[in-house]
Formats: sequence, structure tokens, C-alpha cells
Amino acid sequence: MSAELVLSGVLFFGLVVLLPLIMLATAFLGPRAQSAAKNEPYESGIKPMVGRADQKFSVKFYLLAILFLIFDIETVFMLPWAVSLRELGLSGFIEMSVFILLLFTGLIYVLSKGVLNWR
Amino acid sequence: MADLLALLPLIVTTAAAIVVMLVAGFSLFGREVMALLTTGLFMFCFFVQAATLVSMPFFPYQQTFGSMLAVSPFSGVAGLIILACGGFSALASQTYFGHNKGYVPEFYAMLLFAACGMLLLTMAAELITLFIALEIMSLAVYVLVGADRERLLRAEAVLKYLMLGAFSGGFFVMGAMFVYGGLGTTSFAGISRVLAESGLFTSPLATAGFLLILICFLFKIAAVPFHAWVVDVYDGAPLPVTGFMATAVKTAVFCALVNLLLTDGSLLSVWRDILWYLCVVTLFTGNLIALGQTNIKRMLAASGIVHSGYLLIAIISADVTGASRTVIGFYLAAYALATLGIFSALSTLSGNDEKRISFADFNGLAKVHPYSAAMITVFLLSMAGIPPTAGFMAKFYIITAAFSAGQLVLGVLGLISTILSIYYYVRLIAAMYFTTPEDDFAITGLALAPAGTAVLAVAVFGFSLYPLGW
Amino acid sequence: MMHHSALLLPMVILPLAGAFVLGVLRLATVRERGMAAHHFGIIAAFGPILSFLLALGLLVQINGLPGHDRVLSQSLYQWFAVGEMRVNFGLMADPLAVLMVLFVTFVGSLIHIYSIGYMKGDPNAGAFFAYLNLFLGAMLILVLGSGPLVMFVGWEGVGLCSYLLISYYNDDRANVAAGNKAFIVNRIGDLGFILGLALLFWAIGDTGFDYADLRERAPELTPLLALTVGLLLFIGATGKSAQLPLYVWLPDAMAGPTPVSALIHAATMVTAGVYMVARFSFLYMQSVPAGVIIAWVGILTALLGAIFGMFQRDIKKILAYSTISQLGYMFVGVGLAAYSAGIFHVFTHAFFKALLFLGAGSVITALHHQQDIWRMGGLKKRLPITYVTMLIGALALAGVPPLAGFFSKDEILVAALATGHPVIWLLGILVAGMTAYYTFRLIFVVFHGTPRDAHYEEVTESLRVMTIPLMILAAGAVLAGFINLPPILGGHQLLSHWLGLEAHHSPHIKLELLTILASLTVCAVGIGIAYRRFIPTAVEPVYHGFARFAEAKFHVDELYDSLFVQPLLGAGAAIRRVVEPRIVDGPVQAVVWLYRAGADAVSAVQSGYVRVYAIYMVVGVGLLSFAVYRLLVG
Repeated sequence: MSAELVLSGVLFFGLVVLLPLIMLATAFLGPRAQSAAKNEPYESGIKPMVGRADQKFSVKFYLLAILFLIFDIETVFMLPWAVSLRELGLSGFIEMSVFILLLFTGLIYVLSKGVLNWR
Repeated sequence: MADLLALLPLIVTTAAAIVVMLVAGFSLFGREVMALLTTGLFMFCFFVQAATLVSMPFFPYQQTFGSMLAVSPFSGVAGLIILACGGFSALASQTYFGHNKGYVPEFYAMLLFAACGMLLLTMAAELITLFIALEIMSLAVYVLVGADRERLLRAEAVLKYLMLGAFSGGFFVMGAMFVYGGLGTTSFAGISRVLAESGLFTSPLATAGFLLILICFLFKIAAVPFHAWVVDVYDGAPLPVTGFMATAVKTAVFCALVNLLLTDGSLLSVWRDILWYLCVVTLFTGNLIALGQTNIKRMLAASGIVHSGYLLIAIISADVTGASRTVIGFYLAAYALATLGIFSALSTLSGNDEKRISFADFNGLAKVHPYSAAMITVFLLSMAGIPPTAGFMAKFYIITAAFSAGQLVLGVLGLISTILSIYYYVRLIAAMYFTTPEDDFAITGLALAPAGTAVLAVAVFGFSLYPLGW
Repeated sequence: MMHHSALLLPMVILPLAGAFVLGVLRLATVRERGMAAHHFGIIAAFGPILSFLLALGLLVQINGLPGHDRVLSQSLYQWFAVGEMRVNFGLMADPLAVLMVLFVTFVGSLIHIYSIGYMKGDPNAGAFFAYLNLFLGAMLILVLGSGPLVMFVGWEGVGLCSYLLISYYNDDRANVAAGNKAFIVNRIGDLGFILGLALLFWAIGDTGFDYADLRERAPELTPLLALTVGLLLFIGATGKSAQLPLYVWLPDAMAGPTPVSALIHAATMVTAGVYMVARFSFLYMQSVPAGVIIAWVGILTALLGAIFGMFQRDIKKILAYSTISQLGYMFVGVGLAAYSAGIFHVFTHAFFKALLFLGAGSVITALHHQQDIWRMGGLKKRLPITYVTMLIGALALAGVPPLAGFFSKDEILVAALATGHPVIWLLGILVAGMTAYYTFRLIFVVFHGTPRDAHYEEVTESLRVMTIPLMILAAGAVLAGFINLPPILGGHQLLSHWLGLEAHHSPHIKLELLTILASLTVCAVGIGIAYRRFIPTAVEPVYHGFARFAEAKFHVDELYDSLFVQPLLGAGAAIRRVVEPRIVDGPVQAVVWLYRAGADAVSAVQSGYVRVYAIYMVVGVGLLSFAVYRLLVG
């Protein structure tokens, strides 16, 4: 049998058997060092500013973060498009316009639901 | 330009979805107007799809957008079924939300977005597109199932669906990756070309990939042993959504599966034996699950598993010509008619917060609402495949196809399964007709669902007369 | 060469559409009891009247065609195709069908109008009129069908309506039993009919199964096949047209409303058998013995009906036995290949028998549902219009010239003599005398003599809407005979020529004279005996000996009951007691138990935990992987 069969066999083996095994194994095998410093929250090298990790905070933060993420990711599509705008020509421009228009309707919807009104 | 013409139904549906989304955002209309608006939009999309389908012989747009999408009569018919399902579900939801909590205006936008995903799914001719379509559809359906966060049953259903759906989606992506690794292409046409050149088993990597893709499909159509979610999720979802899932989702996924497997038939010949066993297990396990239920929604969910089994019979006994697609399309349409009808009727009759949902709750319905009971009977008989309903003709075509393809054992098993299934369908009929009513079956509010139900009941008979050109 | 006609479909559709509309209206108003009976009736009358007008149009259309080529058709669609068998659903009209359609729609229209009066105030009239319209539609399908299978649709349709209408007053169990009897007895006949059709199809049906195709290939039938098919089809006719031995349902069918008795059980449906034989004339021409058997069954039925008719006391049963007897005549006609004579008698009989029934209905309503002639009497003064019109009907039935019955009956008898069946002729003459006797027995007892009804003084003539149809039918009973005057009376046998069913033979002047003289004599004798016995005073007789036996209808019902019904019921009971619980039920229960156990097992696995479901999926993946591995390696 070919090398491919071996490869796929390995992948299958990994998927079905090895993965759970390894995950189980790490729970038993790995050394566990417990120290106060290790249990401290890590925030980009800065000491945590306020409160505790499990404290409640407004769901608005969550919504806003999600919205930021969505629009941020969509922006990523525009970078390669901008680079090759000349090659894509008019049809590329129209397609991107449609894309931006759709994004814009999404923004209108978000506005209409009052998500961005901080009350 | 021909590309855009071929895509017109999809474009129109997307536009409709966005419009409804904005309307919902600004809360322009009340609940009833939203339902009517959505029904109207679905009807409009239906006619656009019908026009596209009719004009197909004049604009031979087979491959569009660089063969990422393919438009065929089969995908057109599936689109018609999907859009009709959406329309009837919107109609039923008007009544349903009249006496049930959990209405949000975005419900209707999601219905349309789900339809967009499904339309795309029916046209997908390439694995990545297929996956994107699958996810558009699934995300919208997740929201539809769980929009009413307040009810635990809904939350439980959406959790199960989301987790297992994501699990199966993972299989698909991994499978697509294997296939690309093995064959160097993701388009259906390319796959069949490579397979034709180099034989079927030369690429074990691709074989493994196809297996993973197949698993995702089997999950979506609820074939045993990937069926376990379906009963709980159907039970947890609101009635119109359950009807929509049972019909439209199944139609779209089967359409995609047929497009993938029957591109040139070589893929099917690899999987035929495996599908054969899966099909038999699906038929009988589905029947046994349905038999044990006391809740009508759960019974219908389990019977949906059995119907997937019948469709698998059609796929297994398929040849590359269009005939098997016709049979599958007919079965999907007949099944959609009956299922939508019964969920429509239940949307009316179930009462506040779906309080009437078990077999016993419908005791003696025929004495209080003779017409509703008669129509439910029609739908159940169609599902069971009793003449002269559309369901009978559909089963007849499938079993005939199995016999003529030489799948004698499968055909006979299908017949046996039909006989078994009569038990749980007739159980509801018996409850409605041969017991004395304990309930007053009061129905409140303006009701559009009965109109839809009546149309569907007539269609069940009318469709059985539709001559199927071979 | 067939000619197209667009009139055929609307003619059939109109009554059916009426039935649909009435059915919907009836269902919609059944809770509120909102619609009055006569509103239903007026809607119902539209279908038949419009169909009658279309039938007139059809007559004009068919007369515009050349004499030898008078066939109109309208093919609708291919009904079904199984293998090589292609069956079209089409309609067809030749002169025979046009004649049938004309009088069916004409009499049907009159009876619909009459029913508006008769059914006044009936709470279920909506259903009644819907059935009546449905009946008419089915009858038209029967007559106009382009092939035997389309005819069979109508054949069963009229049977269904007949059943529904006999049991119309279904709060009385006896009526329901009468309906069941009619249905079951007809079913026996239908079995013969279906077997006949199947045999016909097997023999010559492979090139098409319309009358036109069959007519072409009928000569290919062997004599034995032609005889078998002919007799099997005739069994169907004995059921529908109440001939020996299946006539027993018709007297009981009088349990239905009187307009139904007039329309279905006298004028139209019961003649379907005669029509069928005439329609299959091409088949019966291949087998003379089949025709002779039919003629003999017919004349014996005629005799039996007449004997029973002489001793009954229920006014409608007298007429019912008379109908059986007259149907016997018609079968003599068609059996002896005198198709036009038989059909002519169907035509005239429709007028005078419908008239007599409607008159009887008028009497019955006037007397508040009294049907015993010995409770009537002297009604001549109270019901003048009914009396005069019924007298005309009675004269026509008795065969008094120049009324309708005289011509048609004599033509059949002449045919019997001309084809060399003197015994049939003799019996026919005898029956004619008996007919005159029992008809006038009815008239004299009911309308003459002294009143015997307690409410005699309160009796008043029926509504206008009921008497006008009576008058129109009376006019028909007088005139209908003239359309087929024999040459001996200066006529040209217009109808026979127009129908063109049989090769025309030269008139038998001597035979006709003989027949006319004989039948006039027995007619006069019959009326004379009735006059002597019941005028001026009729005494209710007490029957002894043969008369008592005849009054009890020779105990045929009891005989059938003990021969067929009781053994069948016994067998059914035995199966229910022994076979079903011991032999059938055991394995069935075992299967159910197995099935349930399987369901319980599967339900137990359906735990409801997502993690368990995910594990099922993983197990499935593992199994499939193994299967794929086997595929790849093996």
C-alpha cells in the first residue's frame, strides 16, 4: 500500500484513538507544580487591574466585543482586494461594493437594535 | 450575466432576508404583518425560482461562477420545495405565535436566511461552497430552534444541535481537506474526472476524506447511528421550526448529497455497499424509535429518520440518468407536503405553549374538529404511504426503482418498513377517531395555519395525480 | 371516423359540479340548519336542466352528420397505462347514447323539480339533492363513456347513489337493510360484469379498449368466448336491471323517497342493463344463444313480476314489480336482437313509469305517508290532477292504443314471433293481460269506490311544483309512442332507422296484425276483470292457496336468506370464534410483542445526553472506518 494509505491511517489512528489517549495521559503523566504565582491571572504582562476573574460584568461588553470582531474580520477581506484592485477591474469593484453594502446593512441593523447605545 | 440569472432566486431570497432583517430591527410591523410579509416574500421567491426552472431549457447555464455552483432542474425543484416549505412554515408560525410565547421579529429573517443557505446548498458544486452553504443554513436554524431562550426545552435542544452539528461540521472540513490532499481538487466535476482517470481506490486519503464528508451528510439527514440528536432537537424546537427543519433542511441536504454522489456515479459505486447497511439500519431503528414515543413531535422526528432511509434506498438504487433524481425529488416533495401539513395543523391545535402534544391529548379530536382530524388523517396516511395519496406514489416510485435496479432485498425491506410504520401513524388516527374527547380543543386567535393546512391536504391528493415522466 | 363534440364534457360535469356545490353547502350549513330544503332543490335543478339543453344541442349536432357516420366523441386524457394496456378516459355519443341522454336528463329534470315539492321541510334535503345530482352525473358517464371501463365508473357510481338514496331515511333500520341488500345484490352482478370485461380484454383488448376498437375485433371471438362474455356481462345486467335471479332488491329499494323510486328505480338506472346489452350489440350479434338465454330470462322475469304485482298491497311495491316485469320485456327485445324495440320500450317506459311513481308519490304525501292501497279509495275527487295523469300512465302501461306502451310492447312481441319464439310470444301476451289487470286494480282501488282513509276529508291536491311535472310526463306518455310508428299504422319506424342498431328487415304485416289483436284482447280482458272485481265496491280480499303464495312473493327472499345469507353469516361467526383468535391472532400478537420489545430497547438507548449521542457518532465513525478499511484492503 502506498504512503498515502499510511498517512491516512496515521491520521485516523490519531483522530480516533490517540487523541483521547494523549489527553487522558497528560492528566496523569505531567508534573504539577502549584504555586501562588502560577495561579495568578495573566494579562499581557500587566498585573490585573481590578476585581476577580469570575466577577460579573455587563453583557454589553460581550456584545460590543463580538461586533468588533465581526467587522474587524470583514475588513481583512478588503486588504487583498485593495492590493489587486487594478487586476480585478470594474467587476471586482462592484463585487466589493456589494460586500460593503451588505456590511453596511448589518451595521444599520445593529444600530436599529440599539446595541451601540450605552445606557 | 447568465450566472446572475441562474442565481436570481438566491439573490431575491437574500434580498428578502435582508429586508425582513431591517424591518425586524426597526420593529416596523407587528407580529401578524411580519408573518404575512414573510409568507408573501417566500411566495415571490417561489415564483422567481419557478420562472428560473421553466426558463432553464432556454438558458443552458450549467456551471456558474467558475463551476463553484451548478444549476440543474433537480436543484431548481429542490429550491421550489424549500421555498414552499418556508412559506407554509411562516404561515403556520402566524397562528403558532398567536398562542405561544417566544416570538422575536428576527424569527422571520432567520427563516429567510436559512432558505438562502439551503438554496446555495442545492446549487453547490464544490466542497468549500458546500460547506459555507451548510453553515449558513445551520447557523440560521440553530437560532430558529433556540430563539426562545426562556424555555429550558429550547435551550437544551439548541445546545445538543449546536454541539453535535459543530462536531459533524468538523468532520466535513477535515474530509474536504483529505480530498483536496488526495485528489488536488474540490469541485465535484474535478473529483469525478480524477477518479475516472486514476481509478477509485488509488487515493486512500481521498477515500478517507469522502468517508468523513459522508459522515457529516449522514448526520444532517439523521441516518443511524448519527440520528440520536434528531428526536430531542425536533421535540425542543417550536412546531413551525420543527416542520421547517424536517422538510426544508432534509430537502437541501439530500439535494447536495445527490449532487455529490451522482455527479458521474463512480463515487456512489464505492459507497453503495456501506450505504446499503446504513439504509437498512436506519429504516428499522427509526421505526422502533418512532414506535416507542408517546409524543407526536418525537414520533414525527423518528419517522423522519425512516423517511431518510427511504431516500437512501432511492440513492442506492440510483443510476446516473435523471430518473433517480426525479424519484428523489418527488419523494421529497410528497414528504414535505404531508409533514408541513401535519405541523401546520399541530401549530393550530396544540394550544397555549404546546400543551397538547401527546397522542392521548388528541383523543376524540374528530368529534370536536372533524375537518382538522380528517386533514391530519390525510397527512398521516400519506406519510404511511396509503393510496391515493402523494406519499403512496412516492413510495411506489422508490420501491419500483429499487426493484428495477436489482436491489430486491432492499425493496422488500422497504416494504416491510412501510408496514411497520403504519402502526404508529394509525395510532394517532385511532386516538382521534375512536376515543371520546376529554379536551374542548379550544383554539384562540386569528388563524392562517388552517388555510395552509387545507391547501396542503388538497395538494397531497393532487400531487399523487402528477404524472412522473421517466 | 369520429367527430369531435365539446358538449359532452360539460353535460357530465354540470350535475357533478352541482353535487359538489350542494355537498359543500350542506356540510357548511349542517350545524346551523341554515338552508331550507327548497333552496337546495333549486340549486340542484340547474345541473339536469342545463344538461338537458346540452343534450338537445347534441341531438342537433348529431343529426347534422351523415346517416352512416353518426358518432360524436370527446377524448379527455389517458386514464391509465399498464404495460401494453392503454385506457383512455373519453366520452362518446351515438344515436343510442343521445336518445338515452335525452330522456335521462329530461325525466331527471322533471323529477328534480318535483322533488323540490316532495322534499319540502326535510332537514337532510341537502344530502338528498347532492346524491340526486351525483346520480345524474354518474348515469351520464355510464351512457356517454367511450369504453366499457368508463361505463363501469358510471355503473358503480349509479349503484352508490342508489344505495345512498334507498337508505336515505336512515333512522329506520329496515331502510338501511334495504340499501344494503340492493348494494350487495348488485355487487354479485358487478362481479359478473367485471369478469366479463376482464375476459373481453384478455381476448381482444390488446389493441385498445374503447367500443370502437372492440367493435372492430368482435368477429375474432370464438362462439364459446362470445357466449361466455355475453352471459357474464348479462349477470351484471341482471343485478342492475333487477332480473331473475337478482331481482329481489328492487321491491325493497322502494324504501327510498318516491322521486328516487321514479328516477332511479324505474326510469333510468334500472334500464342500464338493457342499455348495456344494446351497447354491446356487436358482441351479442356474435352469439345468438346468449341472446336467446337473455330473452328467456327476460320473459320469465316479466311473468314473475306480473304475478307478484297482481297480489301486492303496497302501492309502490306494485309499481316496483311492474317495473321488474317491464324490464323483462326490454330484455326480450334486446335478447332477440331487436335492439331498437328494446330501447324504444326503455324510452316509453321511462315516461309512464316515472309518471306512475310520481303520481303514487303525490298520493302518498297527500295521505301522510300511507302506502297501503286498501287504506285508500275514492281519491278521484280529492286528487283530480293526480288521478287523470295516473290514469294516462296506467293506460300507457296497460298497452292501450294509442299511448306509448302499446307501440313499444307490441314491437317486442312481434320480434319474438318473427325470430321464431312463439312460446316467448305467448307468455308475453299473457303478461300483457296481467299487466292490464294489476294496473287497473291499482287505479280502481285507489281512486274509485268508497274512501277508506280516516283523514279523507282533509286530503288536498299536491303542490303545483309536483303536479306540473306530472302533467308534462303524462303528455310524454301519450306522445312518446309516435316516434316509432310501425308501417302497419302508417309510420316509418323513425326511431329504429335513426338508431341504426340492427339491419332493417321487411315488416311482418301478418305477425303485427296478430300481435295487435291478441294484445288488445288480453288488455281488454285484464281491465274488464279488474273492473268487475273492484267497481263499484272493492273489498279487501283474503288470499288463499296460490294467491297467498304469490302475495308472499313465492318466499324467494326467505329462500335466498336460508340458502346464502345464513350459511355465510354462520361461516363468518365460525371464523370469528375459532379461526381468528386461535389461528390468526397468535402470530400477530407475537409480532406486536417483538416489535414493542425492540422499541423499548431502542428507547432505552436514546438517553438524552449529548455526550452519549457524540459517542454513538464516534462509534459510527469507527465502524465505517473499519468498513472502508475492508474495502481498501479486500
